[in-house]
Amino acid sequence: MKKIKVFASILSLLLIVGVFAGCAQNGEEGKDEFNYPTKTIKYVVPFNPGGQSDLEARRQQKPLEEKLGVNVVIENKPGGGGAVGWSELVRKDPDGYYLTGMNIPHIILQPLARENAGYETDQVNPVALFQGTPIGLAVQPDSPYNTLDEFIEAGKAKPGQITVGGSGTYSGHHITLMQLQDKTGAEFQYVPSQGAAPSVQSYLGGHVDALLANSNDLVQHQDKMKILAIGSKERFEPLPDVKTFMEQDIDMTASIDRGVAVPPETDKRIIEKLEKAFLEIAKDEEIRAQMKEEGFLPLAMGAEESKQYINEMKDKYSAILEKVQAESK
Amino acid sequence: MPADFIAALSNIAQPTNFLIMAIGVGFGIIVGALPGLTATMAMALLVPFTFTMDAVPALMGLGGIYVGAIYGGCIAAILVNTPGTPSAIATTFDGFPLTKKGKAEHALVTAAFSSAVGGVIGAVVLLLLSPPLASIALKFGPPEYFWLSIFGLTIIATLASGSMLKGLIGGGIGLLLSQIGIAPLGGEMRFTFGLYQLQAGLSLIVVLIGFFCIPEVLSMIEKKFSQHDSINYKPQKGVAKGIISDLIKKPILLLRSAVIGAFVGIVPGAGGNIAGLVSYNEAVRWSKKPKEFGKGNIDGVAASEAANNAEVGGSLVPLMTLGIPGAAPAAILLGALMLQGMRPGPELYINYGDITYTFLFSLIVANIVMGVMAFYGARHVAKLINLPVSYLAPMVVFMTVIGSYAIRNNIVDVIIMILFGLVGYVTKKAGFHPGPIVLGLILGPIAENGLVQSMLMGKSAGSMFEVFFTRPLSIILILLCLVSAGWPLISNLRNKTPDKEADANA
Amino acid sequence: MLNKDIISAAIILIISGIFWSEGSGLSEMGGFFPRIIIIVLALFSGIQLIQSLIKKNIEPAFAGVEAKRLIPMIIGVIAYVGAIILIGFALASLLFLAVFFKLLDNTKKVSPVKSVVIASLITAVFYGVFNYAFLVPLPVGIVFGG
Repeated sequence: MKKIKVFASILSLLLIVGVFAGCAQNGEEGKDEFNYPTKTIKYVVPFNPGGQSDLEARRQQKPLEEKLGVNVVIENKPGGGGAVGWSELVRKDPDGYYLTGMNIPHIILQPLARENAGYETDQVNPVALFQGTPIGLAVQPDSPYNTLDEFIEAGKAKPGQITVGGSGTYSGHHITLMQLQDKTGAEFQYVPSQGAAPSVQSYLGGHVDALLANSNDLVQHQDKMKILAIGSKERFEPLPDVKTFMEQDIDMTASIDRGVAVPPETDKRIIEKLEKAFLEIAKDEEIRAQMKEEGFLPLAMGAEESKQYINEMKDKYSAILEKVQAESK
Repeated sequence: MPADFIAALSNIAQPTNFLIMAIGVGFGIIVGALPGLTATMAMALLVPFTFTMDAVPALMGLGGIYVGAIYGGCIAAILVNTPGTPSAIATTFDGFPLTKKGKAEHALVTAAFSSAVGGVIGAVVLLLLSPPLASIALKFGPPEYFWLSIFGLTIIATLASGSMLKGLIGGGIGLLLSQIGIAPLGGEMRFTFGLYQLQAGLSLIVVLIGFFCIPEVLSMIEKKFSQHDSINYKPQKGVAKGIISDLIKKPILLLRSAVIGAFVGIVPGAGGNIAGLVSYNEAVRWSKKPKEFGKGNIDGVAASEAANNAEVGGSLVPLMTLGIPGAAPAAILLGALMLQGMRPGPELYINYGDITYTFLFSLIVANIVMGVMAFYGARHVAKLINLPVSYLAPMVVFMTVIGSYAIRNNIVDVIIMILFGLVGYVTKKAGFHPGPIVLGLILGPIAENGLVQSMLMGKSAGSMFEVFFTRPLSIILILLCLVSAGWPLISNLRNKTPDKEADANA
Repeated sequence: MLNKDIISAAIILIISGIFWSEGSGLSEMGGFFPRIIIIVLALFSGIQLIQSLIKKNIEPAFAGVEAKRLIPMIIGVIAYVGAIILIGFALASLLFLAVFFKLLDNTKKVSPVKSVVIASLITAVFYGVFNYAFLVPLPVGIVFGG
């Protein structure tokens, strides 16, 4: 019996020490004056390690540490196409020590398409957008269609008989196709894959007629495809010969944009500090050159600009989705 | 090209490069041995450094980690019945029974030798046969994936030790569990019962840890003097030599397993777990004593390990020649290549021949280094099992908790793991083997993707029949399914004659 | 009368039913595959149910299990996860390990001090390795502002 008592008291002692240690730490943070950042910042990537969002965060990690003067740890919290990470983000304390990578249009489309995505678009509080990935439309090299017009005409003449591969449902690729169909009246059969790599594979194997793909995949596989159009506003530098949708009289842009966000109601001063660091990195010439080489569009949009952009896209996308859902009923 | 070969060999022989690779292998083995930590995660840790490193050491380090981690998975599988990585699922079937018999070292040496042999064969396949194999990989479209997964499900017959019916039910449960989360096509939330946390679905690794490990811990402690206390590993002399000379006498087993592994590897999306399971299944099928499997047969360990390490080389085939990462670790390598401005594809071999061949040769060397490390480590690692249950059981629980948390940094996964662990304990007592359940969980998404995508293709082509039943590769896979499903009947017929004679004699 | 096969088949049938009703609202695309699975699963477990009603002599599931040892472990594991959420990984693990090192010890040779010391060491090593080498920050718990 005695031994058990000793045991219990040792354990409770440890517990008490632990609680005190924890409180002491909390106490230090309680100071009111603005002194940020003072401790390690957690930078969550809501996708798997090795994905583009992950690689981007890891590219920023070292420069961020230099600019902010504290450690930055990257944590992958994948699941539900990013939804798990964003659901967690909007429930975190807005103390500036918890950032999460954000992807557009994911954060717009998931709450629109799912009954309970776990977060709302306007809860994701943007800090900056630093990378764009224009989405392009490509067909097989031996395809009879040489221009976007021919492709659209075929989609009108043979509605639903041309298959278009892409990544995911209610994703950037899916909404791009919906937009294209909405603007032109053509009809295609969308065949979604789980992720960009499988959809490219399906295309290279000839299992689909056309492909919606991210700019980096287009750049990588350009010699095995005829790229009909790209979703950037202006000509995309790494693919100078490809016309945009706008140039071909279809008023749409299509892109997946990467940025970073903080929990709702984060102090303005914190956002400003983070925004400054992220934009400095985004404007770094070496990093911009690397991004272009890999087939991306470097961006440098601050918090306000990003918020506006998200709202703009949200209006556009919800209109399309409503229309599509009304038609299918 | 000969010039590239020479450059490659001298690159590898350079002490710093070699050292980075060897450290990578060692680090990979440790990470792989810890349940929940995967090759992908270990490689991602190296990524920030590759931004500033030269291409050769960066790629060699990443390759070393990949090779090491896939081997490392067998250690936890053999010692505590928990696959350290999903690739080692099939290793548990015979590896852990061997440990129970006090033959942990036998199992570990078998794994070391067959992993190295399998790994080298896989890397040689990658080096020599990439272009033709890559074109086969591309022929795998949605219908082929569907039939491949059906073929995979026929393995249930082997995995269901005891009752076939329970095996089928287990497979069905696994398939059903795989449906939780966002539907791959259509994007609906399925079977989340109103919980947004479940939209991510169940992580294979989390369920794996739960189903394999927690029931084992509970069986360890359920009796005061459990059989586990009698598990004792006493170092014996000559075990390693005996095992290796034994394995060398079975070249067909090793070769077949490695070829299966490499072939499964080239199909993007089918990973080391499927490679190991298929290879194990074939080892049982072609064995003269199939009843011995599952009770501690070193052939079972060899089949699984040779296949999953050969898969490493195979999984890099579509990456190097087509730029398609067939597996998650390959995706990280793709990132590292692109970062160096090296675009995968035929031009990789032409424009960056020296670096590319360095990488390919280094994989062969990494496998040998891995084999040596594993071989000499086996004896020491096997001693871990001598810990008394009172220490071992709580520590294994502790490890499962860390592992299931680390995989997605999510506490919900820990809760799910414990829940499935307790369910797994009860189902095991009710006579359900975890193998078929996990198989269903792995194959469910592949089957559904293939099925629904094929149906969409059929809709636009105007004929379902044409899509499912007329493509040449599909027909081959359908035949394989039929042979595999009908095998018990065939082997019954084969065995009938001697049985009758035996009866007549009796 | 009730044996493990009857009970397990019945439970799986019930689960099939629950999943069927949960998935009743799914579209054709998202519901096709799960419905096939549920039907097949229900079919097999139905066969098992009938089979086990006919067949007798099925050995009991929990023969020889000592509830005295098993139940504390199950409660302990559940409490461990709860404790991680509340007080964080490090402290919860220390408590869990120390308590069970002692509790499961048959030999009565392990002193309380020894079990706490070993538990602290293990926790510290893994906490350090994961936080600093693998860069997996382990949860700190609600109490300490996780």
